[in-house]
Amino acid sequence: MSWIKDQDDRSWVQKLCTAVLKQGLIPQHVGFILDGNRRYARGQNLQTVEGHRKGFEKLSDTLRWCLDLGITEVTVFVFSIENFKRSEEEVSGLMKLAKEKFQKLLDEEENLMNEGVCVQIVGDWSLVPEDLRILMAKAMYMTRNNTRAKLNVAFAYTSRNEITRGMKLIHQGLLDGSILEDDVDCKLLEESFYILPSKPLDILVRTSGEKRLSDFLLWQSAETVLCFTNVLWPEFTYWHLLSVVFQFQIDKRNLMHLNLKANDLQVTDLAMEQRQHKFIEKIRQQQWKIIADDASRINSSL
Amino acid sequence: MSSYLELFLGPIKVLAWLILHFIWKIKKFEFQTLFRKSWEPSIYTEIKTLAQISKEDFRKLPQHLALVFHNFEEEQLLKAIILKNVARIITWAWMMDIHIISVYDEKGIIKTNASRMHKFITTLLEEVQAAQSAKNLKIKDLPSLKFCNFTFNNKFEGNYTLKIVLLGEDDGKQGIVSVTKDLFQKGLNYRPTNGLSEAFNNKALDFVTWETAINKNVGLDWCDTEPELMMVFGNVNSTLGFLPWHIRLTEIQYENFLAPYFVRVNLREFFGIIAKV
Repeated sequence: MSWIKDQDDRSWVQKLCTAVLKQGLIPQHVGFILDGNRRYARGQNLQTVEGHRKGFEKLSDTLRWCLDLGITEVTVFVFSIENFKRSEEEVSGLMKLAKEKFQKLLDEEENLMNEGVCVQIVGDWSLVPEDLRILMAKAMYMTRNNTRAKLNVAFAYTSRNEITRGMKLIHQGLLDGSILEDDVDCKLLEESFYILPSKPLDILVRTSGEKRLSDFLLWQSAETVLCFTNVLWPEFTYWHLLSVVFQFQIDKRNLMHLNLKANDLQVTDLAMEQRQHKFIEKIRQQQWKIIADDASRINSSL
Repeated sequence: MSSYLELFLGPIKVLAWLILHFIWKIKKFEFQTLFRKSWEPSIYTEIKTLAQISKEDFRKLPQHLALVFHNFEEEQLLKAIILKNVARIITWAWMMDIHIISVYDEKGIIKTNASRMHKFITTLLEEVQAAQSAKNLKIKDLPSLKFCNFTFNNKFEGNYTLKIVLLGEDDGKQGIVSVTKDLFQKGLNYRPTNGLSEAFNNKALDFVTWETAINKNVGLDWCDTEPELMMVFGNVNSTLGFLPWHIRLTEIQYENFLAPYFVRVNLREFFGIIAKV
C-alpha cells in the first residue's frame, strides 16, 4: 500500500461539502494521534500487527484527503518511546512493519517528488535500530527539497524527550559561545526541535475517545485547537476529517478573539537574530550531515 | 462557460458555509448559555449536595486537578465575581477530596490576585464548616491551605492538605526557557563546596535534574503528581499554554456548558465531569 493514496475516491457529496468548507479557513498544519489500532484488531479478531497495518492504510487515505483539502503539513504520531515497553513480539512486529513501509516510501520516490511531499522524521534517532534509521535518513534526504506539502513522522518520539534534547542543544550553544543567554527564548528553543522548519500547529486530533496528548506535541499544542473523537483510527472517514476542519473553523475564530500575545514580543536586535539564525543553521547542518552519511550507507546495507 | 459556472456557484458556496456556521451557533452553547441565569449561589444551597458525594461515586478520583480559564477580558468588570466563582469551584474540588489544584489563565489575572483568592477561599471554607454545622451534617475539618508558588501563608509547619498552584502564561513555555538558562548558570557556577548538587558538575544534565528544576520553577516541587484531569472553562478546546511539560498524561475535559460564561457552571455539572474520569 502506497504512503499517499493515488486516487481521489471522494463522492460528489463529499466534494460538495469540501467546496463549502473551503470558503472558510483550512488548517495548514494538523497533528494526528493515530489511536485505536489495537482495539480495532481485537474487535475484528485480527492480530495486533494487522490492526497496525489497517491503521497505515487509513493514514494513506488521510494523507490523500489532506492534500485534496489543502492541508499542507501533517504530523503523525507513529511510535512513542513508551511503546518500546510493549511486548517484544509487538515491538518487533512494529519495527518490521515500519521497515517495510519506509522501504515502500523509498520505492515511491517518483510519486513523492511529483506530489512535492517533504518527509521529516522527528524523534530520538539514537533509539531507532540501525537498518530502519538508514531507511528513514534516505527518505528525509531524498525529499528535503520538496515544498508543496510536508509529512512529519514522529517515530521513537515523546515531547519531553524532544524538549530535553532542545534544551541540551541550547546548553551546548551557550557553552561554545554560539549564542548568549539573552538570545535564548521560546522561539529559539522550538526551532532547535526541528531539522526542517515547521508551521505552527493548527489543530491536534486524537481518535479512539482518549482525551490525552500522551506526550505528543505538548509544546506545539499550547495555542492549538484540540479535537478528540471517539472513532477508532482504522475507521476514520473523510466525514470525520471534514468535521475536524469545521471544528477548527469555529474554534480558530474564538482563539483569535482571545487576543493571545505572541510568546516573545520584546524587540529583538539584529545581532541577536543573526546569532540565533546562525546557531540554528549550525545545528541543522550538523544533523543533516549525519542524515546524509546514514542515507549514503543504504546501498551497502541492502 | 466554466468561469460563468464558478461565478454562479461561488456565492452559493459562501452562503452554504455561512448557513452551516449559523446552524452550529444555534445548536451550540452560546445561545443556551445566554439564557442561563447569572447568579451567585450561596454555599448553603450546595452543601447538602456536597455532603451526599462520596469517594464511591468516582471511578477514579484525581489527586491533582487543573482548572484552565479562558475569556477573562470580556469579564473584566465582573472580576470579583470571577475570582469568587473560581474559589467556589476550588471549594467543590476540595469537598470531593481533591487535594492539589492548579489554576491557570493565560493572562495570569488569577495569579496576580493571589491574596484576594486566598481570602475568598478561606472565607468559603469557613462558610462550608458553618453550613455543615447548621444543617447537622458531618463537619469536614478545615484544610491547611498552601499556595505553592507564594509565600504569604508559610507560617504553618506540617503537611498541607490543600495545595493550590496559581499559574499564568509565563509559567508554561517561558518557564522552561527560564529553567534552561538557570541550569546553565548553575553548571557554570558549580563548585564542590557551594552547596549545589553534584548533578550540575556534569555538563550533560540528566533528565531528573531537568524535571526537578522545571517542577520547582512553577511551584510543583511541593506536589507529588502532575494533573490527572484538566477542566477547560472557555469557548475553545485548548490548553492555551498550560504547563506543556506537565500534561503528558492529563485527561482534558472540555464541555459545552463550561463555556463561555463559566460563572454559570453548577455543581452537578462539575461533579458529572469528575465522575466521568
